[in-house]
This record gives sequence, C-alpha cells and structure tokens, in this order.
Amino acid sequence: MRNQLRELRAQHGMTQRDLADRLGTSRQTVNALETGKYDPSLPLAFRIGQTFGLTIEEIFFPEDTDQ
Amino acid sequence: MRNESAPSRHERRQTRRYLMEAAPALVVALTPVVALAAQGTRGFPPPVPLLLVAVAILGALWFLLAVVRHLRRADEYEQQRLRATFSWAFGAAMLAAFVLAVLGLAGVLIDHADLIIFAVGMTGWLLAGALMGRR
Repeated sequence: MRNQLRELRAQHGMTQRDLADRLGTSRQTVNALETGKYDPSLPLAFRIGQTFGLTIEEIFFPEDTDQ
Repeated sequence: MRNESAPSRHERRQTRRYLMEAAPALVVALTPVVALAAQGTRGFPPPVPLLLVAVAILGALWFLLAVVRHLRRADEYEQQRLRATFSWAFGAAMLAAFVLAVLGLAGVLIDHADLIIFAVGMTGWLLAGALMGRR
C-alpha cells in the first residue's frame, strides 16, 4: 500500500515527532508508515484521516494506482 | 530548532515506565545470581541459598511482567517489532538447547549448559532489538 503521509505532514508543517504525538504513536511508527514499511490498522488509519481531515482513501491507496 | 529524530511523548512515557518497572526487577533477579555465583552454596548457611533462588525467581517473574506490560503499552508497529525480537530470542535459545542436547548425546558435556542457553536467548533478544531499531 502507498500513501501520501509524508506530503500531508509537510503541507501541515509537522515533524514526524509532531505527527507521532498527535497519533499517540512512536516516531519510528510514523517513519515506517511514510516509507511504506508498515501498513496501519484500520483504527490508526482512521486517526490519521481525522488528523488531516481526509478520508482513508484520500491518504492510502493500492500500489497499482496512479496518485 | 525542532529535532526531527527526537522521541515522541508516547515513546518517552513508554520508555520511562518500562525502565521504572524493568530496572528494579533486573536488580532483584540478578543480585542473588551474582551472590550465588561468587560465593557458591558453601558460602551461605542453609536455607540462605534457597532463599536467594526464590528471590531470583521472583525478580525474573517481575521482569517478565514488566516486559508484558511494555508490550501492551506499545503502539501497533512497536508491538509487531517486539514480537519479532521475542521470536528471534526463542529461536536462538531453542537452537542453543538443541545443539547442547545433541552434543550431550554424543558424550560432549558442557558445564553450565542451562546458563549458556539463557545467555544465547537473551543475546538473541538484544541483537534482534538492536537490528530492528536500526531499520
């Protein structure tokens, strides 16, 4: 799965640590999400969506789609 | 200037709690082991050696509880990584136990084989944790 997490975080002027604080996770978790090493659970994906005011589909998408 | 690589609040809180629970447990578990190793059973009048063993076991159980609580507090990605380190430690300890058992069957008896298995398992756990932390 791919995502726009890094771009969204940059748009909002947040560091990985800031986003981790908002999500209640570690910074490594945010890094793993951004680099595609880890796909979040649905509850975490919803929290990410709420943080940026977007739906899950607007942030995460399958590997084979053009976004 | 903000430090990008600094730990999050979640990490700092989690690390602090883990250290506060695990460090005293390790001291309680290892102090009797060091005392027994240094003095041997002849250095203490009975039933002190057995009491020291009981204290060491209680410390080990306390440490185990601290690790389980640490795992429960971890976020989902950290839990996945922690479980992977436990798997590596289990694999290393089982491999060491198997090797020592086969050597024993072949007549090669190694002193303190039980402690070697424990040390290999703990080393495997630490190495796996260090390697996963670098990824």
